[in-house]
Amino acid sequence: MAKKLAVIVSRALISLVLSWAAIAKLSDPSYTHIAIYQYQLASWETAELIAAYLPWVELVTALGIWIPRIRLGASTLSTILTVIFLSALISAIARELDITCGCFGARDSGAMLAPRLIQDFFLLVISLFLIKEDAASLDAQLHLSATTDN
Amino acid sequence: MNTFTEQIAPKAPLIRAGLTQMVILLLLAGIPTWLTSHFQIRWKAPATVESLTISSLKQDSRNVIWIDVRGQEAFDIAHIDGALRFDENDHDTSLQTLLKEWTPNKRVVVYGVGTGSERAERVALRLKKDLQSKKVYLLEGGWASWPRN
Repeated sequence: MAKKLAVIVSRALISLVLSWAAIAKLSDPSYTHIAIYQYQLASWETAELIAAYLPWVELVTALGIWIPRIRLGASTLSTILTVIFLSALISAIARELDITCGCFGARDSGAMLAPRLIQDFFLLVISLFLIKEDAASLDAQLHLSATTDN
Repeated sequence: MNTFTEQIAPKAPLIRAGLTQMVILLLLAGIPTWLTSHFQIRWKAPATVESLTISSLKQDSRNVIWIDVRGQEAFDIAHIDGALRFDENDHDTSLQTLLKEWTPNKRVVVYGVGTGSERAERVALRLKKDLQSKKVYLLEGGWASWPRN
């Protein structure tokens, strides 16, 4: 029962954070474009493509995490996204870039990188927990269908 | 090696399912991305920067900071008197230089090579946001329209 609750709370957290990030980015694409570009990891044109695609990936992941048929893919995607965000943040801190995170659009313009790093690490732990749970659930389903077929 | 294969093999359907689901999600995200890009759909109107003509600026040239976004070479050859060169690729350093001269009552006029300079527009939009000021403008016609002596 406690585990079931932990899974629901984890899904809600990931879903909420990703939806919030996606909507904030979609509401100000030019800011998102500049924020991505400022990481100096992508050209101006590539940053524009990322700024257009990333919010939708976040939104689809946030919704997919609730749909049983695709939730393992969604939790995997959420983990990959968090690893990418963490890597970008660590690289920006290492290069001493004086930039803002941009994780939550223009409203995030005052946020420091270090607190976002902690937040992303926390999200990574939750995403990994969800992968474990979703994989176990799908594994059980696959076993069940294999047994029924036999 | 065998042990590794033996451990992974039973998980193969699970890994395949996870990857397939992930690809489906990525493709699904591609649909709205393509639609919004193709039809230029915006959640809100894109911010714009007003253009000022040379004649209007010459009538009242007080409190104007000129921002030149052309390349260093072009800037070195000639530029508007007192203009600051703004390197888009080194935004922070250029912004810091600008902030030494800028006060909220001053107008910032950005110019590029000529009419429709995308770089000038990008810099102006960014400065409007950075400075939280409405007094950021583009020079109509850019450097090409500036009278030479």
